[in-house]
Amino acid sequence: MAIAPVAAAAAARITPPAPPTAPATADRTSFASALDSVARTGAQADRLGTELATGKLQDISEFMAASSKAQIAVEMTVAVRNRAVEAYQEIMRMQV
Amino acid sequence: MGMFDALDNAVSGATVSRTWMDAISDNVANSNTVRPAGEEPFRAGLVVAESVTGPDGVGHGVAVRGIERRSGVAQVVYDPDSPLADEDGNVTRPVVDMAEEMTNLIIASRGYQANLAVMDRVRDAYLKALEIGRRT
Repeated sequence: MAIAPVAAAAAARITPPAPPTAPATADRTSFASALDSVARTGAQADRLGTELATGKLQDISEFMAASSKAQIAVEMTVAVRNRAVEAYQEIMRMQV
Repeated sequence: MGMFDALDNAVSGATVSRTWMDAISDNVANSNTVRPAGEEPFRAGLVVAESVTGPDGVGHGVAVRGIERRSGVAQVVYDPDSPLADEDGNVTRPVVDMAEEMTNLIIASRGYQANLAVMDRVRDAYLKALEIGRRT
Protein backbone atom coordinates (compact mmCIF):
# COMPACT_ATOMS: atom_id res chain seq x y z
CA MET A 1 0.00 0.00 0.00
CA ALA A 2 1.19 3.44 -0.71
CA ILE A 3 2.27 5.44 2.28
CA ALA A 4 0.81 8.85 2.17
CA PRO A 5 3.43 11.55 2.70
CA VAL A 6 3.46 12.96 6.22
CA ALA A 7 3.24 16.54 5.14
CA ALA A 8 -0.10 16.20 3.36
CA ALA A 9 -1.79 14.18 6.14
CA ALA A 10 -0.45 16.35 8.91
CA ALA A 11 -1.41 19.53 7.13
CA ALA A 12 -4.96 18.21 6.66
CA ARG A 13 -5.41 17.53 10.40
CA ILE A 14 -3.83 20.65 11.84
CA THR A 15 -6.07 23.63 11.44
CA PRO A 16 -4.69 27.03 12.17
CA PRO A 17 -6.23 28.71 15.25
CA ALA A 18 -9.00 31.16 14.55
CA PRO A 19 -7.66 34.72 14.76
CA PRO A 20 -8.97 36.47 17.90
CA THR A 21 -11.29 39.06 16.36
CA ALA A 22 -13.54 40.29 19.18
CA PRO A 23 -10.90 40.74 21.95
CA ALA A 24 -8.48 42.45 19.55
CA THR A 25 -11.00 45.07 18.45
CA ALA A 26 -12.08 45.66 22.07
CA ASP A 27 -8.47 46.25 23.11
CA ARG A 28 -7.92 48.54 20.18
CA THR A 29 -10.89 50.78 20.92
CA SER A 30 -10.11 51.08 24.63
CA PHE A 31 -6.45 51.73 23.87
CA ALA A 32 -7.38 54.24 21.18
CA SER A 33 -9.71 56.06 23.54
CA ALA A 34 -6.96 56.10 26.19
CA LEU A 35 -4.58 57.63 23.63
CA ASP A 36 -7.26 60.20 22.79
CA SER A 37 -7.56 61.28 26.40
CA VAL A 38 -3.76 61.50 26.69
CA ALA A 39 -3.68 63.68 23.56
CA ARG A 40 -6.44 65.86 25.04
CA THR A 41 -4.52 66.48 28.28
CA GLY A 42 -1.43 67.31 26.23
CA ALA A 43 -3.38 69.75 24.04
CA GLN A 44 -4.88 71.39 27.13
CA ALA A 45 -1.41 71.82 28.67
CA ASP A 46 -0.13 73.34 25.40
CA ARG A 47 -3.06 75.76 25.21
CA LEU A 48 -2.55 76.93 28.79
CA GLY A 49 1.21 77.27 28.15
CA THR A 50 0.50 79.57 25.21
CA GLU A 51 -1.90 81.62 27.35
CA LEU A 52 0.75 81.92 30.03
CA ALA A 53 3.37 83.06 27.51
CA THR A 54 1.03 85.69 26.00
CA GLY A 55 -0.03 86.93 29.43
CA LYS A 56 -3.70 85.96 29.21
CA LEU A 57 -3.62 83.30 31.90
CA GLN A 58 -5.13 84.37 35.19
CA ASP A 59 -3.95 81.56 37.41
CA ILE A 60 -0.53 79.97 37.04
CA SER A 61 -1.56 77.02 39.21
CA GLU A 62 -4.03 76.02 36.47
CA PHE A 63 -1.16 75.67 34.01
CA MET A 64 0.95 73.70 36.51
CA ALA A 65 -1.95 71.32 37.21
CA ALA A 66 -2.59 70.79 33.48
CA SER A 67 1.08 70.06 32.78
CA SER A 68 1.13 67.62 35.74
CA LYS A 69 -1.92 65.84 34.31
CA ALA A 70 -0.25 65.64 30.90
CA GLN A 71 2.94 64.26 32.44
CA ILE A 72 1.04 61.61 34.41
CA ALA A 73 -1.01 60.63 31.33
CA VAL A 74 2.06 60.26 29.12
CA GLU A 75 3.97 58.25 31.74
CA MET A 76 0.92 56.04 32.22
CA THR A 77 0.77 55.33 28.48
CA VAL A 78 4.48 54.48 28.46
CA ALA A 79 4.00 52.17 31.47
CA VAL A 80 1.09 50.38 29.76
CA ARG A 81 3.18 49.88 26.64
CA ASN A 82 6.11 48.57 28.71
CA ARG A 83 3.87 46.10 30.55
CA ALA A 84 2.37 44.84 27.30
CA VAL A 85 5.81 44.37 25.75
CA GLU A 86 7.09 42.61 28.88
CA ALA A 87 4.12 40.24 28.90
CA TYR A 88 4.63 39.49 25.19
CA GLN A 89 8.31 38.79 25.71
CA GLU A 90 7.55 36.57 28.70
CA ILE A 91 5.19 34.48 26.58
CA MET A 92 7.65 34.30 23.69
CA ARG A 93 10.34 33.04 26.07
CA MET A 94 8.24 29.99 26.94
CA GLN A 95 9.80 26.71 25.70
CA VAL A 96 7.39 25.02 23.36
CA MET B 1 -10.46 61.32 33.95
CA GLY B 2 -11.91 60.89 37.38
CA MET B 3 -8.47 60.23 38.82
CA PHE B 4 -7.51 63.88 38.40
CA ASP B 5 -10.27 65.14 40.74
CA ALA B 6 -7.74 65.74 43.51
CA LEU B 7 -5.74 68.03 41.22
CA ASP B 8 -8.88 69.88 40.11
CA ASN B 9 -9.97 70.48 43.70
CA ALA B 10 -6.54 71.83 44.59
CA VAL B 11 -6.64 74.16 41.56
CA SER B 12 -10.04 75.50 42.62
CA GLY B 13 -8.72 76.13 46.14
CA ALA B 14 -5.66 77.93 44.78
CA THR B 15 -7.86 80.07 42.50
CA VAL B 16 -10.10 81.13 45.41
CA SER B 17 -7.04 81.95 47.54
CA ARG B 18 -5.64 84.00 44.66
CA THR B 19 -8.96 85.89 44.32
CA TRP B 20 -8.83 86.59 48.05
CA MET B 21 -5.28 87.93 47.77
CA ASP B 22 -6.41 90.14 44.85
CA ALA B 23 -9.22 91.57 46.99
CA ILE B 24 -6.89 92.12 49.96
CA SER B 25 -4.34 93.94 47.80
CA ASP B 26 -7.14 96.14 46.44
CA ASN B 27 -8.23 96.98 49.98
CA VAL B 28 -4.70 97.79 51.12
CA ALA B 29 -4.07 99.91 48.01
CA ASN B 30 -7.23 101.91 48.79
CA SER B 31 -6.60 102.22 52.52
CA ASN B 32 -6.10 105.97 52.18
CA THR B 33 -8.69 106.76 49.52
CA VAL B 34 -10.72 109.57 51.04
CA ARG B 35 -13.90 110.75 49.41
CA PRO B 36 -16.05 113.88 49.82
CA ALA B 37 -18.11 113.94 53.02
CA GLY B 38 -21.56 113.16 51.61
CA GLU B 39 -20.48 110.28 49.37
CA GLU B 40 -20.37 106.56 50.03
CA PRO B 41 -16.84 105.70 51.27
CA PHE B 42 -14.58 103.03 49.84
CA ARG B 43 -15.51 99.80 51.57
CA ALA B 44 -13.14 96.84 51.83
CA GLY B 45 -14.05 93.85 49.68
CA LEU B 46 -14.63 90.47 51.31
CA VAL B 47 -14.57 87.37 49.09
CA VAL B 48 -17.44 84.95 49.70
CA ALA B 49 -16.43 81.37 48.85
CA GLU B 50 -18.84 78.49 48.42
CA SER B 51 -18.08 74.78 48.44
CA VAL B 52 -19.03 72.86 45.28
CA THR B 53 -20.76 69.53 45.89
CA GLY B 54 -21.63 67.03 43.19
CA PRO B 55 -24.99 65.25 42.96
CA ASP B 56 -23.58 62.18 44.71
CA GLY B 57 -22.46 64.19 47.73
CA VAL B 58 -18.79 64.11 46.79
CA GLY B 59 -17.07 67.48 47.15
CA HIS B 60 -15.57 69.11 44.09
CA GLY B 61 -13.63 71.99 45.53
CA VAL B 62 -14.63 75.58 46.06
CA ALA B 63 -15.81 78.52 43.98
CA VAL B 64 -16.11 82.26 44.52
CA ARG B 65 -19.75 83.21 44.94
CA GLY B 66 -19.16 86.94 45.01
CA ILE B 67 -17.47 89.87 46.67
CA GLU B 68 -19.32 91.61 49.49
CA ARG B 69 -18.42 95.01 50.80
CA ARG B 70 -17.74 95.62 54.47
CA SER B 71 -20.58 97.25 56.29
CA GLY B 72 -19.86 99.72 59.02
CA VAL B 73 -20.11 103.31 59.94
CA ALA B 74 -17.86 105.50 57.81
CA GLN B 75 -15.54 107.83 59.66
CA VAL B 76 -15.95 111.50 58.77
CA VAL B 77 -12.74 113.40 59.47
CA TYR B 78 -12.08 117.12 59.59
CA ASP B 79 -9.34 117.82 57.02
CA PRO B 80 -9.78 121.25 55.41
CA ASP B 81 -6.51 121.03 53.45
CA SER B 82 -7.69 118.06 51.42
CA PRO B 83 -8.77 118.95 47.85
CA LEU B 84 -11.89 116.81 48.36
CA ALA B 85 -13.08 118.58 51.49
CA ASP B 86 -16.50 120.19 51.39
CA GLU B 87 -17.28 123.65 52.80
CA ASP B 88 -17.11 122.32 56.40
CA GLY B 89 -13.70 120.76 55.69
CA ASN B 90 -14.89 117.18 56.17
CA VAL B 91 -13.84 114.12 54.22
CA THR B 92 -14.91 110.46 54.53
CA ARG B 93 -12.26 107.90 55.42
CA PRO B 94 -12.42 104.44 53.79
CA VAL B 95 -13.77 101.48 55.71
CA VAL B 96 -10.58 99.40 55.72
CA ASP B 97 -9.09 97.73 58.79
CA MET B 98 -5.38 97.41 58.07
CA ALA B 99 -4.69 94.88 60.85
CA GLU B 100 -7.47 92.61 59.61
CA GLU B 101 -6.29 92.91 56.01
CA MET B 102 -2.69 91.98 56.86
CA THR B 103 -3.86 89.00 58.94
CA ASN B 104 -6.13 87.86 56.11
CA LEU B 105 -3.21 88.22 53.70
CA ILE B 106 -1.15 85.76 55.75
CA ILE B 107 -4.09 83.32 55.87
CA ALA B 108 -4.75 83.63 52.13
CA SER B 109 -1.12 83.15 51.12
CA ARG B 110 -0.77 80.12 53.41
CA GLY B 111 -3.96 78.70 51.94
CA TYR B 112 -2.55 79.16 48.43
CA GLN B 113 0.69 77.42 49.41
CA ALA B 114 -1.24 74.60 51.08
CA ASN B 115 -3.21 73.95 47.88
CA LEU B 116 0.02 73.92 45.89
CA ALA B 117 1.48 71.39 48.35
CA VAL B 118 -1.59 69.18 47.80
CA MET B 119 -1.04 69.34 44.03
CA ASP B 120 2.61 68.40 44.47
CA ARG B 121 1.94 65.43 46.76
CA VAL B 122 -0.87 64.07 44.58
CA ARG B 123 1.32 64.24 41.48
CA ASP B 124 4.18 62.45 43.27
CA ALA B 125 1.78 59.78 44.53
CA TYR B 126 0.41 59.04 41.05
CA LEU B 127 3.88 58.92 39.51
CA LYS B 128 4.95 56.49 42.24
CA ALA B 129 1.98 54.26 41.43
CA LEU B 130 3.29 53.90 37.88
CA GLU B 131 6.46 52.34 39.27
CA ILE B 132 4.67 49.27 40.63
CA GLY B 133 6.34 46.17 39.21
CA ARG B 134 9.10 48.04 37.43
CA ARG B 135 12.10 45.73 37.24
CA THR B 136 15.00 48.09 36.48
